[in-house]
Amino acid sequence: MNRSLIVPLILKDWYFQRATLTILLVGGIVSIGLTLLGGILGVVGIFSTAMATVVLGLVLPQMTVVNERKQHNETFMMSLPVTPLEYAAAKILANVSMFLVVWLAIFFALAYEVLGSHHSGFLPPATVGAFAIFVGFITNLCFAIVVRSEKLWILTMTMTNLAYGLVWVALYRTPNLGKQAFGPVAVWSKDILLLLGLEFLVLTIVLALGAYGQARKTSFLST
Amino acid sequence: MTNLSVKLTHVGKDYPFFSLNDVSLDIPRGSIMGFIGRNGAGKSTTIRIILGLLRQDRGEVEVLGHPMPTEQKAAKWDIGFVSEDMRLYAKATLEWHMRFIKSIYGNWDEGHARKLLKRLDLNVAQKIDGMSHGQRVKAALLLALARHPRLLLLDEPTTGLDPVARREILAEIEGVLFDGGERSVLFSSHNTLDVEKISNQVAFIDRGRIIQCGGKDAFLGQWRRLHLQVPAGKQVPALAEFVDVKQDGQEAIVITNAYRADLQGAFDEAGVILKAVESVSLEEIFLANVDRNTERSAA
Repeated sequence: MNRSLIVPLILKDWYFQRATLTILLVGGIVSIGLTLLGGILGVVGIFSTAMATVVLGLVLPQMTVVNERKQHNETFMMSLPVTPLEYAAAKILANVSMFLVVWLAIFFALAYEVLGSHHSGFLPPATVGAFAIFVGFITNLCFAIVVRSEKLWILTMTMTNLAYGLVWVALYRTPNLGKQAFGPVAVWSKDILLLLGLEFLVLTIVLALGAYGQARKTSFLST
Repeated sequence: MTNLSVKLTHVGKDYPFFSLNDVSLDIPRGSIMGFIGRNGAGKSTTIRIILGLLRQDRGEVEVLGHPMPTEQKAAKWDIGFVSEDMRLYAKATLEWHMRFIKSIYGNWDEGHARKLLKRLDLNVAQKIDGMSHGQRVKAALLLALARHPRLLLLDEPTTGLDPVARREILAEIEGVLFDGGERSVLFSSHNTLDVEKISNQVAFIDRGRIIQCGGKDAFLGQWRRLHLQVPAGKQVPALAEFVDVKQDGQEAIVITNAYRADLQGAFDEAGVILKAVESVSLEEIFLANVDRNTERSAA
């Protein structure tokens, strides 16, 4: 894989998404600020912090992969001296780096706030939730790259959003989590670690399926 | 080193409602090949296979000495591609695109790019979405030409352009041949006038098959329209080289793809009088080929 070719492709996506990233980053940080206020605004803050990262996980693949294909920019990109696998790698690296910048900034701001407010117990379920959003983003991204059907792409987005609900249900059903989450100490129980392990497994399967699907392609354009 | 820029050997590609079949095509170095076919004939599919954007189901493709699509990356360093349905980034300026291409290709020629900007009357500060269709095509052509590709693949670049933009684009394509004489162009179009103007090689494609291929001058030199007078009781001789025969009373018009002076003997023998011999345009040649292909398919 040629680094000198991949880097311009990554920078190109950063350039075009700079406004989106700024808006979501600022939105995420403001949301965390709201949680400091406590009460109903605190709940709104937690909800909108999660929403900022969920939206980022949907918007990035849509803007950088699906729209690039729909607007026939992909033809231009694929005429450059890159292989389909390099193109996919550049897309993944660009998207993951953009996502991580915002996601990590929000996550660390949240962690800093949680640890400083004697509610460290919130950190394990927040980590499960945040990692679920990351896995959902990677799933969206891989499907956007490999699958060319817009219907399937919409179905994937719907499924990943529904899956977030399953994660919340799993957290809700975790024994003693209610008590631990509002406690002063972060408890990394077996159940929490199992949930994180499952999310990691899903991530690995999605990446493997993505690489397999991309390698089997015989057409590298949408038309 | 091979003398061919592109060599397709028995290439095929299947889709649910279309197949490219047994396409064999040689594009010599230093030539402009006009690739003519109606919409849906297989021009874009062929060009995309040459560029490595589609993997052929059958046959072999060699581009600039590289087997495709396995060595597409190496080949694409030396290929410039402009397609009617290829879009640059709407929200970025031409200047941004030039910087982007320059960051990838070490052989980007800034001086040549600036000359092309002037010749094609383009503004670097303009965003692509503010450009007309003609300006977008010219911008894409500039990005391809400013790095002196050894092979230029142009898929219907003049479709939908006004006469001035078309002339400018054709002039630039023609100019590629003066750039060292080693470069080649494959130029697809359903506009035979454009092809006739700039190409020295011609290939006709219809229903996924190459139906004729060769030097343009040879085509134009061999194809003729013959006006015959057929006296009562006489018949136009049935010769294999007669592609199309139309008769109305004692007047007949024959189109032949292998005109030669000794045809006169055949007419004398048949008692038919050759009244006039006319040149045939590339469009007529193309249409005659398509008609013949349609008849063969129906048979």
